[in-house]
Amino acid sequence: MSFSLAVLIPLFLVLFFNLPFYRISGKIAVFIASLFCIVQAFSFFLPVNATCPAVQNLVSYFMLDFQCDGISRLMLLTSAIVAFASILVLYAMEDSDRKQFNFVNLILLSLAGMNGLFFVRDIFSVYVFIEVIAATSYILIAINKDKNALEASFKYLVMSSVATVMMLSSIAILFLVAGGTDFVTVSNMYQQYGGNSLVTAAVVLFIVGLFIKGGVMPFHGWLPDSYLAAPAPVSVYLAGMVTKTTGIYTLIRLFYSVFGFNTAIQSILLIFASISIVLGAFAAINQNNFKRMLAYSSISQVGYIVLGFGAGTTFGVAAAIFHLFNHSVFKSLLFVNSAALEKQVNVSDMSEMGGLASKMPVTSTTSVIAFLSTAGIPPLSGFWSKLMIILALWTADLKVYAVIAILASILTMTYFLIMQKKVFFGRLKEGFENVKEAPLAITFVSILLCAITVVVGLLFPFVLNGLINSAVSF
Amino acid sequence: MNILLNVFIIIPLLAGVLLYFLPSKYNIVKIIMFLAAVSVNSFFSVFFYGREILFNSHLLFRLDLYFRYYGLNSFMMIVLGAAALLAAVYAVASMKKEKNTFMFYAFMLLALSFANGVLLTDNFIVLLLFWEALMIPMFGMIAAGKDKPVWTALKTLIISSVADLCLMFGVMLICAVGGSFMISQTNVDISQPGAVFAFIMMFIGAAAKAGAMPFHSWIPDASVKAPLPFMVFMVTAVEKVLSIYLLIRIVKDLFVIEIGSDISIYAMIFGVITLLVANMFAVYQKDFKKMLSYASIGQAGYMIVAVASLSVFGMVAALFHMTAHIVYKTCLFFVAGNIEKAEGSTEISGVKSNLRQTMPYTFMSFVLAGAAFAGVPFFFAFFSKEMIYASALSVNWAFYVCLSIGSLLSAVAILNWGIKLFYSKPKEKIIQEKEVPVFMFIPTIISALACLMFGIFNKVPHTLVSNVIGQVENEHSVIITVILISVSVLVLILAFINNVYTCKKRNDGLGFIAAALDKIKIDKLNENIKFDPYEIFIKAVTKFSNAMFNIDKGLNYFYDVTVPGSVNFVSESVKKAHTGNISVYLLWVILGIIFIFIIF
Repeated sequence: MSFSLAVLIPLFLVLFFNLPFYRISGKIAVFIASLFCIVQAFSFFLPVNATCPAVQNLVSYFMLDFQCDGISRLMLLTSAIVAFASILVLYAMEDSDRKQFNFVNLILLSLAGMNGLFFVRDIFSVYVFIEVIAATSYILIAINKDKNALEASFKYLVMSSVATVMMLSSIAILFLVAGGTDFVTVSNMYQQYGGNSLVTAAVVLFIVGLFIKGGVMPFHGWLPDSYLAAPAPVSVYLAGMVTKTTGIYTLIRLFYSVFGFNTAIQSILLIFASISIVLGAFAAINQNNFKRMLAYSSISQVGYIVLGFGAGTTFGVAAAIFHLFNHSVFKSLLFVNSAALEKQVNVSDMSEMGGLASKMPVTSTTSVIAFLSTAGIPPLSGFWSKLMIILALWTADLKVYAVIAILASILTMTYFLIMQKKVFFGRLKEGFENVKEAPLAITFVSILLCAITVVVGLLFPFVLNGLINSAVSF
Repeated sequence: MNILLNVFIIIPLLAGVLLYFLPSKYNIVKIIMFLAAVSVNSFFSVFFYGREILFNSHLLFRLDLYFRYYGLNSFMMIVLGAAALLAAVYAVASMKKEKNTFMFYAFMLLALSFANGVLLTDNFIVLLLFWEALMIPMFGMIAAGKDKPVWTALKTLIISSVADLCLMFGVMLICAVGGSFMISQTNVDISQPGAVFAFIMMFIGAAAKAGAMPFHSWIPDASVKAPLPFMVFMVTAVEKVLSIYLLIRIVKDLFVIEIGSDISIYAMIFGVITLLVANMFAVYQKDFKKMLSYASIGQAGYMIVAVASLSVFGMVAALFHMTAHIVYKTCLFFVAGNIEKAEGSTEISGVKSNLRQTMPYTFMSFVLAGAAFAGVPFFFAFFSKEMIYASALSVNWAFYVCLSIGSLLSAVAILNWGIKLFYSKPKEKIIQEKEVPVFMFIPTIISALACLMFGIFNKVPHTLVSNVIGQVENEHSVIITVILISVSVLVLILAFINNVYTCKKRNDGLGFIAAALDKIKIDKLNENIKFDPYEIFIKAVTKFSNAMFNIDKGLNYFYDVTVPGSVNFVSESVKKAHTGNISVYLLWVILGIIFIFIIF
């Protein structure tokens, strides 16, 4: 039961921060929160069942059906990394103590919801935790209260509500049929009444809800706007973790543990994934805004994850989980880079930048590595996960989709090369002579994430055995 | 290491390499070394004659690479050695002041070494190695010409390599079919699968070495551009010797073919076409050396016909004719070289003086060698030609007719040039010209006298050749012999009348056969170099590369314009679809749900 701590500690931290009559400063909150992230990250390496009786007694007051498997642990690590990155970017970007404090509180709340989502084994609890994350996300996006942010937040709210309605009605139907909402009950029911049209409708509604949350095309309308309008640290957190967790992780969890695959579900996953990959990449090519381009790239990469998952084999699930991890790392890295640019250059239009590689060597180098990893260039981590996805599709005899995945890599290359050329390469544009490298916190995060990308790529055999194979044995 | 290997391969090779790298202050040493190496080679080729030696060289990595010295190749090596000696003496005398003289010497020694290697080896792979290695000296010797004719050398290289490719392929096949790399252990029945193809490929490769059509076109070019000793040594001696040696090996040892089988007929037709076309071209040439080179190609046709008749008699005839041809063609090339030295050119327009008076020895040599060339009775080539006629006649009379026509043409050509070179009236005042240096006309005269001597004492070469190939069982009847001789004489008389007629009526020296040749428009074919397969090939390659370039341009257009354009278009449309209007986004959601329900 000790993994309940991952939910309880952030909750207690938020309570502790907001004790009446005594409020700690933002800096201390940032420090404590990042410390928590580090501890959470290291808890990945602890044995699963290490428990201490005192903690057990404490946790047993909360009647939560928590279970831990390899996927949960991997996601725990990922969320810790991304949250850590986001908090450090916040520290570098926001000067106001108040904002830092608010932000840390919200992120800890969100983290509590997220960690709960990883361990929970009950579809209604899944819904609850998704809503916790979503509620904090609305506020996080609009935290600066400017017009665009509010509009984006509103869009996210509206779309999310649609998703919520769908998921809730789906859960209602499933509860109606199964008489319970825990995974085992629902799973047993589904095996029995899988062909029933009502149950099918419930499943479809759940899928659509998750697609909206995950930003799969064509349910992605809210996503580019919110990524763009959100403040830099929020973008990092949102792109790196929130959509991937609420949408894609839940999708994987439900179909891996509860519903299982059938051809219709598989074809839905594959078709929408392909649409996301191709159209997301196409949309990214012509974007002029750095963050918007990254947003569409994110949609495209989410497509890859769903595509690998849609192969329907455990190998495919492993590939999807691995790509999810990699994508979280390198997309966070790219958003950290965008934050660096935002802070140092204060221009969001890519065509106005140019030649920044000489002025911001760390940012440009790490962004090159991140984009190479995204495009799937060996030996970086993105190459291996993409290779696994393609292999999974190929071995599952879904060769058309494998070919689409390969060809779309060219588009990925294209938009990232355009980005690199516009922003970092070429001649230095006028007015940028005095640009300096980003502050230490941001460069530190960049280098850390970049190192993860490189090391995971280079040590892929160990990663495959230690990390992925333990998460999903195939 | 066997002494044969040392004498025939290693010594010329080392001498050649040493000669190439010695500094120029040792020029005298170099010349002595060059002559000594060639002389040693010739001496030992005679010295060892008559022995049969099979030895393992352990040349490479202790592999069993056998070399075999026996009748056929020992005779070939005598011929080669003699030609090399004559050419070497002539080269030393004539090329004194030219730039690349020593490069030429070095490459000539290399060529001698490699040619001996081809003759001696008993292993197909080693044979191919030496055969291909000959390309290097060939290129070098042509490129050592006055104006560094690298393009001619390249042309030679390309044409030869195509032919060699055929040979390589044939060797590969015969090794596969026969199951052995040893030449002396290979004896493949032509009816075995793949054997016919192997035969054709090897035959083409070997015949092309002698300059058979369509692999001939580098020879006339080289005759103008390359140093003259190259024409004597390489084109006349080495190429013919190797070609005939391999042809005889192919039909005699490597394959078992019945006399008169289809493939033999086709091979003979191949030879006949070569000899007719080449002789027609020869008639029309405006340059003496070019005429000689075309005639050389034509003579190769005779030899191919004789070998392809598959009879022992034919092979004896071919070998005999090869020897005769080397002797008289060497002499004629020397004559050409002498004239070039005196007049500066061997073209018709270049001859200014009455050479009969200024160069009596050269004139005398020309008469003797020309007589042998035309096939005048009691000269060297007369007997060999008669033998070839007989072997052709024994297969089909049509071949005989074609051969006779070929002989008529070559007789006309040589008579025509004799008149033009030595009997034309001087166009300018006689400049007091001298005979060429003594070392240039000594080889000329020796080869000229050989034409006569071996003609009169024709038993000597005939016996030698017969010893090598095997005794001819059935001599032809007296009647046939009489017919053959009388027809040959008739041909000569016709040629003579033709030229007399020419003196009166026409200027081009072609007489009444010109009318016949004009009808075939052979001159236009020749002059526009339309018939040169190399040029045709190069043109085709150029066209092909242009076409490829255009395709590439098209592809570039596709990659540079079409693809980015369409990507941009799709991208723009997707971008425009994202209006930021939330109702549109909700509409997409609804459409998506409908789509999902359609799938289910």
